[in-house]
Amino acid sequence: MPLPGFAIKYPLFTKGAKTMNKKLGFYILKRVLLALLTIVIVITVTFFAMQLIPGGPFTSEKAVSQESLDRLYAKYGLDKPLIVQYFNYLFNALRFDFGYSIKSRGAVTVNHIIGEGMRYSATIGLIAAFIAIIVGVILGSLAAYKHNTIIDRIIMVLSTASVAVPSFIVSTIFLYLFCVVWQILPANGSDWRGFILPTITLSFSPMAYIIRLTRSSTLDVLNSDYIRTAYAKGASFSRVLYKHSLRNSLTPVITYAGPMIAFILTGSLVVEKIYGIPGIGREFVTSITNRDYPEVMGLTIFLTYLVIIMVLVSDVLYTVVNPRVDLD
Amino acid sequence: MKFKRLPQVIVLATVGTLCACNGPLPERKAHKDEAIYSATIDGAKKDNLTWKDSYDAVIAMTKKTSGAVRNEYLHQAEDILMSTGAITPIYYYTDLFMENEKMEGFYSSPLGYKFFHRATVDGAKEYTVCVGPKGDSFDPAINSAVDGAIVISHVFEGLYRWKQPENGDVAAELEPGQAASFEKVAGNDGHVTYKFKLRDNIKYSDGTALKASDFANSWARAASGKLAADYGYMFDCVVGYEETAADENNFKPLSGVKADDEKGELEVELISDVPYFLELTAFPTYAPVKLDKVTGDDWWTKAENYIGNGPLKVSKMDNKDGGSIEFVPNENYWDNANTKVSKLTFALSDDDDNQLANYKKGDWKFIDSVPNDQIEELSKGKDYHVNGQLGTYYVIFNVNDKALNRTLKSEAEYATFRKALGLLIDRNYICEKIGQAGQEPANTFVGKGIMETNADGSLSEWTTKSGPNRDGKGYYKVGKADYEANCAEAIEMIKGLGFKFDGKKFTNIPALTYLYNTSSGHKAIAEYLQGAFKAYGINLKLESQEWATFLNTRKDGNYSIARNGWLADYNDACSFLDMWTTDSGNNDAQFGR
Repeated sequence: MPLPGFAIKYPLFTKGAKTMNKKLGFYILKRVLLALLTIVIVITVTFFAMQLIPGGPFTSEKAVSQESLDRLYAKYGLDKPLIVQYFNYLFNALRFDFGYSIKSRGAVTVNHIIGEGMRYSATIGLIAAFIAIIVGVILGSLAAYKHNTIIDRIIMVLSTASVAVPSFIVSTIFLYLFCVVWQILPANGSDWRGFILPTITLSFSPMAYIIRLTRSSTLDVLNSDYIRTAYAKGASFSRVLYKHSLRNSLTPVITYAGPMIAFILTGSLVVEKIYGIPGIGREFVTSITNRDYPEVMGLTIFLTYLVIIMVLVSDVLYTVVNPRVDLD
Repeated sequence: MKFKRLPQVIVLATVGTLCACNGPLPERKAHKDEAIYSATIDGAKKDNLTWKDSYDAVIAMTKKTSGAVRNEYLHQAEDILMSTGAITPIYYYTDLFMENEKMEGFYSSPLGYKFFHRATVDGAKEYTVCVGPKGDSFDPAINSAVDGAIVISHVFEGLYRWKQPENGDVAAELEPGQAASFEKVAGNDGHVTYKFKLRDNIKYSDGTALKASDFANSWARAASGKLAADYGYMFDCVVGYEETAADENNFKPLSGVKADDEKGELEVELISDVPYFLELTAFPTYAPVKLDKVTGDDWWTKAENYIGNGPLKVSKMDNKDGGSIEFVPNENYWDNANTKVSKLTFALSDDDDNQLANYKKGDWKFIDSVPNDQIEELSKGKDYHVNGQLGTYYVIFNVNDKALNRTLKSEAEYATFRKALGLLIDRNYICEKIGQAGQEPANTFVGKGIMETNADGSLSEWTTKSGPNRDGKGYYKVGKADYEANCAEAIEMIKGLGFKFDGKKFTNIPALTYLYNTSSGHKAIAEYLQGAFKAYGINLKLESQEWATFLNTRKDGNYSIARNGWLADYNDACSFLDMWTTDSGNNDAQFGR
């Protein structure tokens, strides 16, 4: 086994990596099949869990007559036996057809809600994830290199604070300062200026987590034998940093970043509500409150797809960065 | 059927007048004294009437009578309802909003539907307001939300409309809208017919003519069983409603509605002379939609299809939270000369803090809700407004809940117990310390602001006549000074039921459970009730449920005591009283079941 960080520069494209590529292809195929199974399980559990909660999509404070209810149930196919509804749904969901939102009385498709919401949530989420990773890795490495100095302490206090303070407090304070007191940013996130605050708010918590991950893994790496060897062979500090240490200390960050990106892309109820972002995050909560079965299912499955894809991507990346990982 | 015994007052009301339709005023039992509660309890011990034979029968009479006789039946229905103690009013709702100090020309209907088309802000004709989150549907027939009604009321206009008030900002009068005038003719069986004459040359915003048949067809659609809309029942006073509502496959025309497009006349036959019919014609459900645009369920989601006949038309429809709806004047509107705005934007937001930040920043000139914890601070400003609202916040008891049946033997004893609990509540404390939005303590269920027609045709407010003696004192004494005496009275009442009292507290009352839906406001009231009852040794367990689950639990009667609230659909007491008949879907107290 080659020493990590030395042997394989670009494992996917070099001659020596042929067997590796074959393995990777098989691995991805295996993962895709597993993913399908996961999705079927998620659909099944969500479908029956939703049926178990009391109340239905037409429950309202002012009573609707039983005849009206019956007609509405018939219109949306909710009068059929549960098992028929289930297989209908399963079949359609696997083809990405999630049907119409019941709450809108059939005016809007679930795909439309997802598409429209993701335009905003994904934009903000991607930038937030980018900020979280870049800033997180830089600060984390810095804290490790300046281990036990005042810089390390300050960075750690900041990262603890950003995990500890919930996003609704951060957003309320930001909203008050930037929008009400100083009036330099809009309170409603309809254009790029309105995206600044939510992006920063959203990046705080994953950034703090990445700082800690990077710091501790960098500390591990810095104390390992091969770094000492590298120094002994006369490698410069910057070479040790970029070539030997960073690459290895990033592996836990990559593992974390996959699912993190999936969740951050699909928005946050709190951040979207407070900053008035027309994103998808709040739909996860309101659709359940509304018992909007098609929307709940559509969103859950969409998130499942996203998580599965991101986990797969991070696993593959992981093997690229760290050849010690065996795909079998 | 659990609720068997009822006050004597009902016997007189029903038996005495069942055949006397528009006859003399029904007889009413005179009460011995001012004490509100005693009379009905005495009666309950003697009587043996079911809820169907009493309450339902009285409500049925309100459908066959009119004027002062009908009023008296409504008051009697309220007597019966309040005698059960199962409906414990807490406060009358208020409508709270922030309006830029420089806004002029804004007004609201009594139901809290806001109108901005005649309003300017410091002379500016282009501005943004926020009246709520994204709408579930802006189809006038399907919408049942207040914020949806506000959108619809700017785009559509009914036969009549709310008149902009000269003083204050709440409209009290109706004036002709799409109709120029009407004539009311009495028919057989108590039926009446409204004959509306439409204005000449009225048009939809796309320039096409609006005809009398557009009204008739829109109404048939809204009332139909095919659409199965929440508010289909708003047509239940129109002849032919039942047949239209029963037809699942067609928009069957209402047999009582006849349109003459040539003459521009619309005749509407009603099953009785309901005093609120003209108001209904101003209600969104009665709006004339352009039926050839109403194709599919999503017709209203596109601005170009959302064609109306009201003061404004939609130029941009971005119906999502964080999005907005934009309106411009409808130059085809007959009264366009009085429209002041040139572009009105409704920002859609479901978050109080976000709304307030936008308002404070000055981007939004009006917001319809504010965070609870900010009310105290905001109420000091001139831009803080509190209007009355036709609704009541109340505590409801499940009459089928027999948690105390080791001690309490009859329905009458339960009624006494429930009323005693109602007396232990300090409504002023709840209004001032918890609600904080100018709410007024409620002494009856029918909300403040509901009007009734007197014998001489004049109008007076229902709450000035509510109560067993029709003196406006209601069914609970809710003055600040009354609370102490109320508590003393409650203690005596509960002691009389056989519970042990050690001088300070009751010692053998089993714990009760209070159900509310998860929200900080309802929780605060629940905790107050818990504390107030605890002081007398009555333990109240609190249970909170998520909204839809809560509604279901309450509807199915799987609770003991719960929070509740009701907003009227139109300005008439029956909007509060029809809901308690045995088979009503809103009979959460389970009367007669």
